[in-house]
Amino acid sequence: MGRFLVQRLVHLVWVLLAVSIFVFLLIHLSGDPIHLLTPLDAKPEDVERVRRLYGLDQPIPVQYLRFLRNALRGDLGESFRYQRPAFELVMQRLPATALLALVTLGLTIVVGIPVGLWLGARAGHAADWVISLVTFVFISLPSFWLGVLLILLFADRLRVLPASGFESPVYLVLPCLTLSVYTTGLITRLVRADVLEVLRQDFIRTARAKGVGERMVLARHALRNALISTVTVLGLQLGNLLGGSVVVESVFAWPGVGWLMLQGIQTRDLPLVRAVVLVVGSVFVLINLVVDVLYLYLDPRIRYDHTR
Amino acid sequence: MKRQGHDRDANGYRYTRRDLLQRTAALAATGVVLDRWGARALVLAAPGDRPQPVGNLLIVQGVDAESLDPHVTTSGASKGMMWAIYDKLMERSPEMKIIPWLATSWRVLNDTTWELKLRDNVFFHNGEKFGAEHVRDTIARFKHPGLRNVYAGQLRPVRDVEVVNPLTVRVHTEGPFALLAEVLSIYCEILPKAITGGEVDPTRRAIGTGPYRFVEWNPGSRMVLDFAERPHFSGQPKVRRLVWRPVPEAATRLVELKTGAAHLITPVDPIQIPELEATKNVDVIAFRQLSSQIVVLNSLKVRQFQDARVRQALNHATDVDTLIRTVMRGAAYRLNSAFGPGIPGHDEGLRPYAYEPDRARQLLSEAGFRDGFDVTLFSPEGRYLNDRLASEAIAAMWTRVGVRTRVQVMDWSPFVQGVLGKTHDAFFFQQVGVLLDATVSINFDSDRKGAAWQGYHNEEANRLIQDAIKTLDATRRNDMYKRLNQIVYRESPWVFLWNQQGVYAKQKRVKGWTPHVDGIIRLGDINLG
Amino acid sequence: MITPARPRPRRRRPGQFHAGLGIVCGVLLIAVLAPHLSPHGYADQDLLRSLQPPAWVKGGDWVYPLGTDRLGRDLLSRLMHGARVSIAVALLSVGLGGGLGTVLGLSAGYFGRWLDRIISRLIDVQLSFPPVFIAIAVMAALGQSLIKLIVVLALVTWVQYARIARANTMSMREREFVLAARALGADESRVLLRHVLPSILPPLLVVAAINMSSVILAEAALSFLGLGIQPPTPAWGSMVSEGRSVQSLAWWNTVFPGMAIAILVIGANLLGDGLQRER
Repeated sequence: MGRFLVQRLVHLVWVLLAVSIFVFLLIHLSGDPIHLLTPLDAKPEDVERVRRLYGLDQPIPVQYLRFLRNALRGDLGESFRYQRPAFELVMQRLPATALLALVTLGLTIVVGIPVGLWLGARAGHAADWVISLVTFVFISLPSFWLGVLLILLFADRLRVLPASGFESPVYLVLPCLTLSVYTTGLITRLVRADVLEVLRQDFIRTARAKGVGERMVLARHALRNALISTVTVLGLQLGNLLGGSVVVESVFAWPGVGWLMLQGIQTRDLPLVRAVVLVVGSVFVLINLVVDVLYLYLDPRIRYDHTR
Repeated sequence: MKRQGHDRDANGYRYTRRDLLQRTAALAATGVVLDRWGARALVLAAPGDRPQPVGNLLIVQGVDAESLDPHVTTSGASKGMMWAIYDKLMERSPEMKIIPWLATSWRVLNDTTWELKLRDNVFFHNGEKFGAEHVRDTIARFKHPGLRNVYAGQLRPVRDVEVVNPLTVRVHTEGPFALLAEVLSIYCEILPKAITGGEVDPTRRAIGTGPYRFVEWNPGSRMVLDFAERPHFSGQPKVRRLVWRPVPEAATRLVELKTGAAHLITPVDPIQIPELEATKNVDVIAFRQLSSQIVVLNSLKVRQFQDARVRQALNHATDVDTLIRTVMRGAAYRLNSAFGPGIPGHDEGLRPYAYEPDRARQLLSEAGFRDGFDVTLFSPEGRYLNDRLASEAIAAMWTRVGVRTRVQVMDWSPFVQGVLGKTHDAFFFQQVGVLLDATVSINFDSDRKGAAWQGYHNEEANRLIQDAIKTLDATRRNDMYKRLNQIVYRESPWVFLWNQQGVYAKQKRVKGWTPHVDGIIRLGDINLG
Repeated sequence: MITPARPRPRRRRPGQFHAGLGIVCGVLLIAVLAPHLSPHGYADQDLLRSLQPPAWVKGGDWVYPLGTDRLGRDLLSRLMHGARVSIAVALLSVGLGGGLGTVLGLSAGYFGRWLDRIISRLIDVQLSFPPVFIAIAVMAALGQSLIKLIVVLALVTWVQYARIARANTMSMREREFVLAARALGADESRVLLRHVLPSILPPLLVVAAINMSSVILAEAALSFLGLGIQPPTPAWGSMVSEGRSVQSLAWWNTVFPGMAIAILVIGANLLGDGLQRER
């Protein structure tokens, strides 16, 4: 276990390095950032002076090395636009995104697993057909469209929920609902499938033959398998949630890191984008690490190999 | 079903209708309504009979402030927020006339000296009393090369600021600097010693002399301001708390206004106007913006454009009225020349180029291009309202008279590089004359070569432009700009299109506020009636 | 973007596969024939008819069956042309990503040693990137273009194929018929092409079908954010975005493009599901 952890942490360093280079190239390859940092009616000498102050006149490799040196000291640079440490800006907005993701995941687990279990036990019944159809549609809906429709319905027509921002917990409802439709549909279907598979396996039949309570059998094995699948998929879904959150944050003006990154890219705020991608990337890797550990714990049959 | 409790501040403080009614009654009883604008002397109400500010006002804009440091902010949205906290030496009325603000009067002593008299009894939010030293220190900071201030060059002619007495300063300049008042009415917000001395970081705390005091700023989420305890010289603010929120989607802003979660929103997409007008409790305010929409013709790149007749032909070939009616859906005002109303040099007497495609063909023929020629019209994407659509329509119109035009749409950054590098044949553009003179006219000067200058050369124009900024007499200066306008109108290095309509939408109960034609929100007497 | 964690139960529902195939092929057909089928050009404006409702609502007519957008452009025609973008991106990204992933995974699994190490490392590193997040970052920085979009989506998804291809190739490598072929002196490429590839293809096709729905949703999201293709070519995602300013007045601008996306994704999902069950 210890060796495994060390391996993953080394991996994290590799990833962060790759990500930082990637972001650097990205911003610089897309044209001179100075034009988006300064308005057109600024005098040329002011533009040049500001360019030098931002350090954008140095050759790219030099800029990158300077960044690396600072990063190792914990300084991820200062946002061009906000003139505050980029790391601080990201950490300030991270909780909003994290909250969104966590509540979505919570909703997914609380609704998806029980419904999936219930459906699996009643496979073939009318309720199963209907709900399966519903979940199928759920995983096919574009999140931004759903968000727009929900705003139209609940905020505009019915006036019962707020349309944007994050002023109090009730503002969480629509964005989380939007995001959790997809994940809940996914998990419900997955759990249902797992339950069905478990019901088929030999040892269940043996257990039944032995007269062990069916309920208990179902509960232990199905739940265990369901959890494994859920953990795997949710870990993978985290990537989707982070990407999905960019869209949803934009639609709902949710003050999280997704929207921050989008703004940063559009204004070529290099330090900010770098900081967002690095932090989000690290979080992502760390969460995957946790998922891997959970996985090992839940199912010792799975042997860990290099590509999981 | 009306939802009560829209009046809620960032901390969830709830405000009932009853409180509002009581306060409004009290207000009406005292009967004091101060007009902030205009050059009339402003009278302070005696303490004790001043009504208490009430209510939370929520303003939703499309973007967030860039920074709390006013000398670094560039966007109109940021300026609006900053000017609630900070004051400048002069201000602008809604018609953009310069009015006294922190400076009560100013005059020219000689060619290189201005004298400004400062307002007494003005205090910063941290208790410092405003005086001449603050002006000196703030201007020094504004011009500091280490500050990321892209407008520092505006005050370059200022050599130093002399403190004559606590309420008088003399500004010494290199040569005559005619536009000092213009510049100081837009730039250089006055800072306290706490900031200029380095004790307080202006990107974290804002301390000014304005009617509102900084409470907090969550970038991307909200900025909260409370009314300043000390009365402001322009009349105490009527609102207790101001909250600014950025919402990037026009549709969402609309919903916020309709549900009452926002009291004032900007910008409003013109296509939403009918829906807003049909909504109860909502007012739509449309005004003629200052910025000019034009097509710039690059005579460095396209030799045909060196002939004034070709440029005039293109003006005649463009059916601007139809473009305004269809592409802009009526939300624009025809420009008759380079300078629209509100800009010095504007001449009502100039008739806009009539749409006469036959005359256009005739002019082209006279210039020797009867068979026409090929040109590419460049347009940014989504930068200006309907930029691409307008460009495509214009291209079709030009093609009809023989100037075969194709449209090339670009992202903003490469587009700007093309403008500065003078590589676009012709481009759809907007000229913003914030200072209302020098900023725009420099694009006609072949010596100084402004950002949008693309080869136009006229000796007299150069002379007028360079002399005007040294002409301290405002009347003579305006006459020079008028003359410049007439020259540019005749020689048309641009195709003159329109001033866009600016649109705000507010709840009916928001009173005491008029928009400024430069599109920046100055709060004035704003209150929730 | 999921990969199947476990084999699905054996319940047969062949109807799903056919239904999915039908939908996808239907959209493909519409996309290919769009210039001929669509009643109007996708860029034809008629500003006097702007925001006209669908034909069955008061104020609409059958000249513009699904209504018009703010510039008076026919929604149905734009939907048809928008299908071209969605299908092109779906098929080409999946093809490109799948091809790339298969080749790399195959090579890694078959040849092993340093090639495997490099490719595995690459896979690992990329798996640590949240995919749609990165796609958004790249497209926002590089600007709009159909080609860039396809390439970016392919580069973000190839790892899924590579992993499966690699794992399956490694297990194939030791199978009798492969060993036999090599013993008989057949050269490597022959073995790969004729024996290994056909065997690993089925699970890869399943991944492709599932991936297709993710790619379609990703393209729609990118277009919605204004990061997809260049206008005036319509894309369903950007049509939803354009419709937002008038969503209260003219709901059809928001609803129909979204429905189109959902239908195509349902088709792709049916295809994926059906492929799994048929195994």
